[in-house]
Amino acid sequence: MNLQLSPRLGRAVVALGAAGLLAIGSFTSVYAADPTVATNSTTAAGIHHFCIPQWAAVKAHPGNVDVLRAAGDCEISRRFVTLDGLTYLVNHSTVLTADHKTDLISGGSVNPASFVTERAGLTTLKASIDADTTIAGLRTDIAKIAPDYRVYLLVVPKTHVVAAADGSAKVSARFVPLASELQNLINQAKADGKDVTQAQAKLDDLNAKVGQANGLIGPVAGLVLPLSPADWNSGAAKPVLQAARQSLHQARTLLMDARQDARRIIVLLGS
Amino acid sequence: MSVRTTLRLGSALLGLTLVVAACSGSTDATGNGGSSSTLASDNGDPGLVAPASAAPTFDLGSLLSPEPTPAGTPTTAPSSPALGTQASPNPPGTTPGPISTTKASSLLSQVDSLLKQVDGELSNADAAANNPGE
Repeated sequence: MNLQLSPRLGRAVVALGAAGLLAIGSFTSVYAADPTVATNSTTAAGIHHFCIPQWAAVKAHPGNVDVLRAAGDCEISRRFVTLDGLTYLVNHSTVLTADHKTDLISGGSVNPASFVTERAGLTTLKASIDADTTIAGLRTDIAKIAPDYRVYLLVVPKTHVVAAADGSAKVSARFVPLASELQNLINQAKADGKDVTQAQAKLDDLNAKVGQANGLIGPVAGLVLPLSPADWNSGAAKPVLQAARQSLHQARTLLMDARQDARRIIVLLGS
Repeated sequence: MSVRTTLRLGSALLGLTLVVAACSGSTDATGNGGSSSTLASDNGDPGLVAPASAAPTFDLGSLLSPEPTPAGTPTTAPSSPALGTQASPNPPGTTPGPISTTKASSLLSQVDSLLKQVDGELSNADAAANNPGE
């Protein structure tokens, strides 16, 4: 009995193991291929604990210049890491327009807080920090890292808002050929003698919703890109970013409704 | 012994009868492309059966031959229209063809894919807005 069952069990174990490896391989390859998982360094959890040891050392050695300088360098370094992550995401984005990629990365005259500008300023500040020989001088320079650049409060959300706006615009644009095709199908069904009242109403609703979404999406990038660290410090930038996100959420809801309309039309005409 | 022989013969005859009866039914189906009940249902009345199949024939020779001839089949030829249907089909061009929604479905799946990317960017924007950093 054992001699007969063991080979069967062995084959079963081998088969299960192979299936498991295949499954694990497929999962890991999916994650490995996802740049947001592998290289997105802009998430809060990975960043805001980055310099905890350095600041703990500053607390333990309050008058030590080298220790304070190390904390300042660490704060600048993690911003470099974040800017590198954003640069990677923007360069590999499939939704951002070419113009907005340029605006986010190098700024031109549109974006005063481009990645290049931020990095250049932080590089200069780091040189100043590295040259400081007093605690007072270091404190003055380190205190500029956050308010003068606003990497986390402004640059990161700005990047994602502009990407979401471009993506939404791309979705909206994709509805144009879809609506055209659906209208063709409705016309064909009507010519065949079908009752297309419901389908036509759904298509009209789809077009209306896409139009409303366009009205919400259109201004977002133009409002968000010019925001500067000074705008954040003055309190002007935060409501603009909040309103932009709200508009994009509303647009997304409208586009989802339009998608449902399209699906319903396909069901109606296909039946 | 004689009783056993009689029983065996009786069983054989009974079996042969059952085979013949079964064959007669299947031949009806073969010749008609369907069972007689299908014909009746085509007529919209299960109780009605085509007159030609009302009295099944018992041509044992044709039933046992590998390829029964049409003459051995009790019902109409396969190409004949079923009861209750039009004698001649609609002329080509008058019947509306099925509407293909393949292209529309493909475009819709592209919309779905892009919407997922937008969801990802919106989630990132929301997370960044809730970021306690500076």
